Amino acid sequence: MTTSTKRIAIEPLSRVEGHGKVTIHLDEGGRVVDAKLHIVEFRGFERFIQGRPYWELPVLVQRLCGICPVSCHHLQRPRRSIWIAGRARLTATGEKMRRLMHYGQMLHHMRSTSFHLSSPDLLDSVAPWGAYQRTVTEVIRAHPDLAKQGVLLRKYGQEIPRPRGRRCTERERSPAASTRTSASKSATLRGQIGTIFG
Amino acid sequence: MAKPKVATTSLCGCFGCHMSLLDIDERILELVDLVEFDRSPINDIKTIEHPVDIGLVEGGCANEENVRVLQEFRRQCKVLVSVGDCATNGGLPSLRNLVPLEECFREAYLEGPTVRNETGRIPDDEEIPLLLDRVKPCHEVVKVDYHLPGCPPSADAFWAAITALLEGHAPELPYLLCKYD
Repeated sequence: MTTSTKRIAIEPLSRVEGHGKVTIHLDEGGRVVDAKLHIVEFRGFERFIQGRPYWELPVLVQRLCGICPVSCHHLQRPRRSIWIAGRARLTATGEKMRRLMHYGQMLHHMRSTSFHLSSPDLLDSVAPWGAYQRTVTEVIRAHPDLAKQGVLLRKYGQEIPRPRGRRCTERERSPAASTRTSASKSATLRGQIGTIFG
Repeated sequence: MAKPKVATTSLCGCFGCHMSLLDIDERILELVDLVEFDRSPINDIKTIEHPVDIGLVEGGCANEENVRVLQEFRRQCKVLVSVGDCATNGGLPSLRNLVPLEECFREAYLEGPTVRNETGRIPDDEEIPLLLDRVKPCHEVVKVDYHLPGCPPSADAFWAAITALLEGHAPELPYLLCKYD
């Protein structure tokens, strides 16, 4: 096996969700001999949630990853664990409420992914001079209108789970948003979204 | 006048605090106008090589890499803020302090009901940072100037803290921004 003489590390990985790094090992001729993705976080959830009251689970496992806590963790994993523990299945209404929250989170989350994380790479015109400048802050400077669309659509997605799943999302706790979305506020928001698609 | 610089990082956290920071929504456009980001997942800079005015640290210290990054932040940041409950008191990951680390490894890699591990090995690549025996809040490792509570702190709490620091005074959160029931 060829031994590597040079190591390139991309650390930490940004614009992905989670903690990781990539190492690439090259030989003398500059050819890649090995490449690895390292997941550098270990938390121990598998063990430390054992023995805790089951109603704590939705709250605990949401903290595995805060990027899309409603869909990934609040809904799926505790629901499964409750099934495993022998609880009754969800009612039809409960299932629909959860789906609605999930779709709201999808809207919010896909917008985070496509605007905040990916748009700097996709919008080559933003910074044709090099990858280092290719950041979401540059996108905001170069395309303020597009940035506003990205931010508002994410906000709209975030609004959907809020009144339906108390404490799922942080907005619930902010005093400005502590009352349920009023009709007028929704209308304003929809108006803003309307201008995006209009 | 040069813009104030802000750096952020996530140590042993879930990125929920960073997502809450993004929840300031339209105000992020204003923030980008007001400050320059140094190391942060928001703009891809991976090391903090120059002095910055405000450092926001999410997550506590669970491994040697977290400690190294936190010390680097302390060296470069004039004001260091531990953001969220993990940074402030270890938070949820510190529940592992209640059980031996070995049991956590065994459950995750060897004995858990969904584990398929034919080699029977626990990941030990030298590239993976060594875990500390217990998860520590940031202030047990370096001096921290302010704590922003919440799991995560609300977008408004972030905004109140950041704007206060930019205006040059200590953040004071009104009751509703640190009330969680």
